[in-house]
Amino acid sequence: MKILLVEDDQETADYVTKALSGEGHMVACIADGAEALDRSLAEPWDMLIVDRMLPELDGLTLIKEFRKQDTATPILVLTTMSGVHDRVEGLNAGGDDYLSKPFAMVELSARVQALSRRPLRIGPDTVLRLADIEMDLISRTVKRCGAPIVLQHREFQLLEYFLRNANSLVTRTMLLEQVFGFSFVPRTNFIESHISRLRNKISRPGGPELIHTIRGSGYIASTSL
Amino acid sequence: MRILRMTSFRSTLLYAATFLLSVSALAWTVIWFVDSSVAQQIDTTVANEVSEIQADAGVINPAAVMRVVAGMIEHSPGTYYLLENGSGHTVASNMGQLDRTTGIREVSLAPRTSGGQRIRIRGKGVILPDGCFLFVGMSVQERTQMREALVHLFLWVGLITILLALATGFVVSGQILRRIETISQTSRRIMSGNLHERITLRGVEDEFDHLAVSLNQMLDRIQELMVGLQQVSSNIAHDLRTPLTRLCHKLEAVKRRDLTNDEMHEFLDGATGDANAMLETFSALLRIAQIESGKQRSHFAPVDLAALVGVLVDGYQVVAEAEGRKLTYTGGRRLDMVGDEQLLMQLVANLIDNAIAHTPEGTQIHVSAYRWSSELGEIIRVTVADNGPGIPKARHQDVMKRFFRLDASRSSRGNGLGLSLVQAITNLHAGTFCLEDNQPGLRCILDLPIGDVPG
Repeated sequence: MKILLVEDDQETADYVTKALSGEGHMVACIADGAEALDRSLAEPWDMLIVDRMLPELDGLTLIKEFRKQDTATPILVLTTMSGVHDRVEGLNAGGDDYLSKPFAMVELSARVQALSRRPLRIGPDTVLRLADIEMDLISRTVKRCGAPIVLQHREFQLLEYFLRNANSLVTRTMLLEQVFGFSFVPRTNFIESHISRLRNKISRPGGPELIHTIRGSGYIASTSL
Repeated sequence: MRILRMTSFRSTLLYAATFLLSVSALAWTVIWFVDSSVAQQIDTTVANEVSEIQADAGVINPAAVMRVVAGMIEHSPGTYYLLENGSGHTVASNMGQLDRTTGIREVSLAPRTSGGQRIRIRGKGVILPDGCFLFVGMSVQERTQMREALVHLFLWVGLITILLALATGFVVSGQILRRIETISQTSRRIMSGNLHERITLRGVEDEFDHLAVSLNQMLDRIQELMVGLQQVSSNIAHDLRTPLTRLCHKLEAVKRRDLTNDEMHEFLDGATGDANAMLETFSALLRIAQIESGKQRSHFAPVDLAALVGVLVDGYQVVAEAEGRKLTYTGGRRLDMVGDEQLLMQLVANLIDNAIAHTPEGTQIHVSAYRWSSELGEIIRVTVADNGPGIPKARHQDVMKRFFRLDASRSSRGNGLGLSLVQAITNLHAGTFCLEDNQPGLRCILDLPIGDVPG
């Protein structure tokens, strides 16, 4: 992917650039907001990663200006502010996801992965599939090997999120934010409990495990792991 | 002089001046009244005398009038008579001569009886039908004396008033000054480091005692906050030192060369976990500070608390079940209020989290949310009650404190900031939060004013 990173903190910029290019992406890094706006509109990008606090032009304004020209390219907003509402403000400005510093690189690359899939999501698919699981988004039913599985609303949303992001890492905070709408991290094993219940519901005797735990990072829905 | 600059003394002077002014006004009125009534009395007496003389003598007999007047002159000292015949010759007199002016008047002359001394005489002159002029008068000496006596009296009263006012002013100001001095001395001692000093009460329950009580309470509160702050800083230090030490140990361990790849990863994962725990503590502190600054009120919007709590309980039931607790919910159908949805969610989630984390397996946790009318106005009361071991009543206040944990070894999970956050969010919504004994167990009671709900 061609990624434009707009970040004025040299250390973070280096760290992110190194990690993303290590994952096979092409990364261009600009520290100045105004310059970044020019560059972002000058050529096509697969994704923008924008820090909120920038010299010359602040991140939110940059995003708003960019969105006037381009509504499709996914944008990930970064910030040092960790207020509950920063996320909402970032998303309102036209960002697609939001990550507050300090963050783990795993978290960033998982979100980059998830964002890059977004165009597929808007596509005409009404049925999501992974191995022998089939999810019909119109009738809101789930089948495994053709046998129906009864899921509650939240379990359905959880599974839908996994299927949409099949084969890539999904972190706990991503699930909390995007499936449960939590802007905080519960102390109890909140996500773990929900995952384990979902696993029980979709498991098939002798069948392969579909949702895998990646220790210290999150989960991956995949047939091969 | 310091006492002259004092407000209390200046107001004493003002009072004294006002009082003196009213005394003068009173004195003037009294003197004028007494003086004129004495004059009136003289006039009446004199008029009576004139008519009496006329009556005694008969109207048209000048010789008889002369006899009567002559008799009067002999028998009534202090009264002055003058009788002149039609041609202006004095017929009988004990006061010298006068012109023939009729009516009431005051004259000043030296009668033979007074031995040449001039006296003031007030009297009445009449022309008798036969052309004779008769004047009857009385000395106004008594009247003058009385007036002088009154003036003297009031001068003395005025003087005493001023002296008393000044003396009282000095004494009262002095007392006030002393008590203010006590307070400022105490505050100087406190400033110089004796934080335990308090202003001594006189026990008379006057304004100064009230002031002293308020100031002492303020000092208590400040001291409490300072102790709290010290406690918090040492707690932060303690809470961060432990994971930092562990982090260091793990990083040291990674440096060893004989580690297998798996072992190294384990150490690194552990190190990341330690660092994350510290970050979480800082985030929680920042979040509390941010909420306490009150800025978040800008995110207030209508929220249906019934839906919010419902969704949370729904989400947490799975957790409770996995942890071997039972979570139930009863509540109103729609509980509209104005608040910060994200923060309220975090608040309720925190209470449920606590109930799950701090109770043994098999505990029943019940959440309820209903609307009430209370002294706070219309409120929504959210309760989270469990039948676990509870918290001793004496510790209810303690657990609200920042970084406080019942587990003194601080080894259990959590950072001791949960209820501080709850408290901060509750305060932001102008609500109240308290803990109660659920017999058995703990009941958290959260009262939130519904605010200005539209519609």
